[in-house]
Amino acid sequence: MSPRGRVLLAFGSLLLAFGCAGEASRSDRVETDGPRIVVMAPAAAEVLEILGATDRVVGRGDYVVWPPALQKLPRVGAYHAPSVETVLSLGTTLLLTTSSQAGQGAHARLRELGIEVLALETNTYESMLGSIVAIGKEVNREEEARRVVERIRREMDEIRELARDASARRVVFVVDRDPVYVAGPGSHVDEMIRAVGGENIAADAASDWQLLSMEIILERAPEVIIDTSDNGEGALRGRVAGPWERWPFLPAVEQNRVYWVDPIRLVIPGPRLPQMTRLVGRLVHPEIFGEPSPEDFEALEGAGRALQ
Amino acid sequence: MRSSEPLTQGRLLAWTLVLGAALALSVLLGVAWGTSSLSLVDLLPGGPPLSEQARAVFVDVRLPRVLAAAVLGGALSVAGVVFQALLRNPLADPYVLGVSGGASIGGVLALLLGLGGAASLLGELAVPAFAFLGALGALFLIEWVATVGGKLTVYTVLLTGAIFNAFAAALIYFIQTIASLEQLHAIVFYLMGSVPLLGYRGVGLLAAASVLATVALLSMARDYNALTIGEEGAAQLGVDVERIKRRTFVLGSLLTGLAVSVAGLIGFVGLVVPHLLRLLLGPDHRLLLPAALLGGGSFLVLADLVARVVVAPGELPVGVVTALVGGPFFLSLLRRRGARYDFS
Repeated sequence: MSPRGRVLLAFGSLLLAFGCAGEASRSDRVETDGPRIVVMAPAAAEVLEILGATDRVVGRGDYVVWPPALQKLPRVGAYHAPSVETVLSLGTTLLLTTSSQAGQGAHARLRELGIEVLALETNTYESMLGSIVAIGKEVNREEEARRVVERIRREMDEIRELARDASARRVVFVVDRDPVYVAGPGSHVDEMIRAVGGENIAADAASDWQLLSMEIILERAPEVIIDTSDNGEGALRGRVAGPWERWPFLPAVEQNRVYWVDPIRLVIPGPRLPQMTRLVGRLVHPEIFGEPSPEDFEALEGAGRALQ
Repeated sequence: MRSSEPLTQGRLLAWTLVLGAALALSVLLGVAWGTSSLSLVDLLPGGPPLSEQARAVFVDVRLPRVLAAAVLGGALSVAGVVFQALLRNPLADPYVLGVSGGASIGGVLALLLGLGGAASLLGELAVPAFAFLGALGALFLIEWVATVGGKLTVYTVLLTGAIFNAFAAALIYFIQTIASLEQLHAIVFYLMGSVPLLGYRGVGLLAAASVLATVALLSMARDYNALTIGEEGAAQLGVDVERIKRRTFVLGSLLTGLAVSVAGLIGFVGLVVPHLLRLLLGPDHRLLLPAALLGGGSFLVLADLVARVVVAPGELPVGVVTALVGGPFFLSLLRRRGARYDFS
């Protein structure tokens, strides 16, 4: 595979495995026994926070930008290339990472050195819930973990129930505009769109993150466009047509339903899924979930830039 | 074999017409066929009037993209032909001289600085503009390094280009490492290489620049023919070798820089189309250059068509198609004709 292909693949799995967000207060309790954790997967960091176990974390991967409590901890490299030396020097007993194939070499060395490496599967809704329980077991919080999973299931069911009778609205979730890259079937975003009574126009695509032709978007005439392609200083945010004004006949443009959001906290699986899904609900079916407020967009800002 | 026939006015005209017709046909196919269910039948007079959406698919999406593919394919193939002639090396392609590395650095830097956003000053122009500046920077740097005693030495150019590309790749990996996740994804998409969706003005500018550069290069076609016997031999035939080399290097690099700036790295076109045409038409550059402009255009239009429809509603990166389809096709041609293929 070309280096470019590898980067793309790594990026895809990263996008799926990325998790963060949440304002829940963290436990200040100090544990004396139990594992010393290095967390490489942002989704896992978020789970640790929900379980009140961030005090067991001694190091973090470069892409772990949430919760703030972890930001002061030493960085051990990107998820695909953890520094074995740094992980060792932190007295780590457990490395929480993604199931990506990247970094297998380093993981094998760490296992030989007696460090447990837990590769979490978070690519689908169900596997993400399973990972929460798996992390719970590792930090002696299995009961709490099961309660979190139950809560997520219950809240997602409530959201689905709310949107049960809503007319399906055609939605496209845009990751990049040139080339056009969108969320396809099997992605978390697809799960969220369906839960709130939306219909992903790329539902018949071949993969969960999909290169799509512009003309398909024009033909399938989305009624809601969620665009996460603009980032950096002064990026478009909120309810603005922006470059989509070029296609005034699209129902989403006509009906003023083009939304620009920061991708980092939307694209990601994790325990905050119900909260994120409700926000998607406000974008897709505001008559059911309420109009999106400026605060909703602000709540999404910034997590991705905490690193800089 | 036909390719060994001397070039006559008639033969030049005939091939230009054939390849021109092939390009027109490719463009027609490209517009007729797409991911959505709309086809050219919808455009026939007498049918129901086109909806605004159908009009946009044909006029604003398919046609400009097909035309951009035609221009980019032509530009990359022309650059490939002249670089192979200049370097007398069958492995040369438009990216070998380092300008592509410079363009990539420029584009990636623009993304790192967040200049490519919809709300930034230059908007969507920022990334191609920075990429083109990067290409120019690389061009001047490489020319400066490779000029020894007032002469542009071919092997030094090749070596400088290869080393500069390696440096550029390393710098880009470095930038990817320090980039945030969202910058990283913008960079990965940028580097992927695809036929861009430009406006007609953009396509027109690109086409004008490509045709002008090709005409300028065509004026040196006889000199390229002379260069096949080596620089000394060409000089004895009265060719101003230094001037030819320098002008070719600059013009070819500008063509490449322009293409990479708007489309990223679309591989294989600039390597395989020149060889295909040499196999088919023989080594005379007076025919090869116009043939490359037209044939390269057809090749990329058809490759992009396959990329658009084969996994519909999804798309493939066009570089996947150019190499996956073009590679075996070229190898089979080489196998059948290879004994008589004398690269020069």
